Amino acid sequence: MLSIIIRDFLEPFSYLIYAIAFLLEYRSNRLIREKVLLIYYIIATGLLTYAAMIAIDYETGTEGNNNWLYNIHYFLSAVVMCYYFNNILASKSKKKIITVLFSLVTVYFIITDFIITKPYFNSTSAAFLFLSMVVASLMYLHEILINMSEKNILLNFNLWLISGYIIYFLGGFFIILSYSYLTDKLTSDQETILGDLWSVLNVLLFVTSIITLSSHLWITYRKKSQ
Amino acid sequence: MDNLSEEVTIIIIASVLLIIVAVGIIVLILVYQKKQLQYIGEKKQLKVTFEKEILESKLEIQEQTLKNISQEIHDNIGQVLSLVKLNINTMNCNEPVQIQNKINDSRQLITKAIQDLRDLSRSLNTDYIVDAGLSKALEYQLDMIRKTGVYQVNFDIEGKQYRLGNQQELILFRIVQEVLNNIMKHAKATMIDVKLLFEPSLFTLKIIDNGVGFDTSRIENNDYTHLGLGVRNMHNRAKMINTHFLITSTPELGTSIVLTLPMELPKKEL
Repeated sequence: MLSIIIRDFLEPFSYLIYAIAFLLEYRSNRLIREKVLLIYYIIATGLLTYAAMIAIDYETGTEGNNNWLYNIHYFLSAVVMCYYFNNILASKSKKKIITVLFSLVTVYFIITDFIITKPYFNSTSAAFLFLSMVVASLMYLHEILINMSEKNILLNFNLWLISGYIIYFLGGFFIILSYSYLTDKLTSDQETILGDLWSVLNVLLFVTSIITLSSHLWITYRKKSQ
Repeated sequence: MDNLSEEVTIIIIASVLLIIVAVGIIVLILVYQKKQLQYIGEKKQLKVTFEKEILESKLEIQEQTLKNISQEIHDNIGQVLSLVKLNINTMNCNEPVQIQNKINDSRQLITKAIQDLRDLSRSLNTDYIVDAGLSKALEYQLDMIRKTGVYQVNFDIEGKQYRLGNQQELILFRIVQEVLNNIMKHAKATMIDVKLLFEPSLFTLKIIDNGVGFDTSRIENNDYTHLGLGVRNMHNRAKMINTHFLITSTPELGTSIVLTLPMELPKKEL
């Protein structure tokens, strides 16, 4: 039961935590970019809950495929993250790199997941998105490094969010990259391995979502106590 | 199956390594920021200390200036005006030629007093030093010494001139004033050489006299703490504007003071 929860429901639950973090962040700052991310996380929670329900049905013998939901989710992620990083980065050259990178990811998604549709989950395009997210996160951290000021960066919500992103997307890169390869290789009785790997990815996502929510609460507490 | 579990193990290990890398990057940034904050704090502290020293130095200069004014008024202008008063008091109405002579003398004395006052005002006026620049202010100061006829004064400028910062020029000028004062008071010199050397990366100011000099054996490693308050103050003032202060002297042969200021930023050419 626990393994099913971790494998199928921890992912939408983590997105829900992210949505709560952004709801709180939006309530205190009223920034459009936070509103966009809040909507994105709510949609992602809905999409992935539906995907988890399809996965449960599949395990109980009902025909179903949730790949299209993941394709939509990753496509949406590429678009929203492109907007978000463009908003938080100050350097024009970095913004250009982000736009080009995420545009390539989006085009790749459209071609591989919506034009050449495959019956199984195409993890290469997702890995491409993960890699782009890592590059974008590193760019943001680089910008923080070169623009270091007297302000305590621990009170910067974006730093915590991006730190979470870098842990999840860098840590999960090999898992997502090898997913298609393993799908091809595994026999039906070995499919639990895939589920376990996916669970690792979900635990990582859960940890980073908790970091993000806690950081918001901690920053609010620190600001109030100052 | 073995091959497969090996592959899965590799994936897991690679993922763990990447997570460690990601955490490492974040920790590095946090450590860097901590060090940066420490550095900013130290820099701020240094700035506060520097400003405090500048203020102390300004007060000290002010004190010295008031002393100079008092001395100049008493020894020079006061004496001249006393002579004028004496001339007026001793005028005899029955001797028109003597009156005429005394009026002429008094006129000359008053002109001298006015000139002395003007010179005093210029040498003390900070705005004049800042507006005219170090070279011009020094030239004027040395001209005044030359006019006394006691010293042979040489003033040379080498290299393409540029302006230093206002604070630096003012402090350098005050140091030179102090040095010239010392030469006139103690050195028994007949010749004063002042040289400014403008190099792109270094500014050098040399003051050499042929006076009695003094024993510099007590100065070790540029340590002036054993010398008099005047020299120590000059050294401290030089230090405040990042200027190297070097004093060399040989008894009966004279003294040389060299101030060197490294130039880091692009200079405004004159």
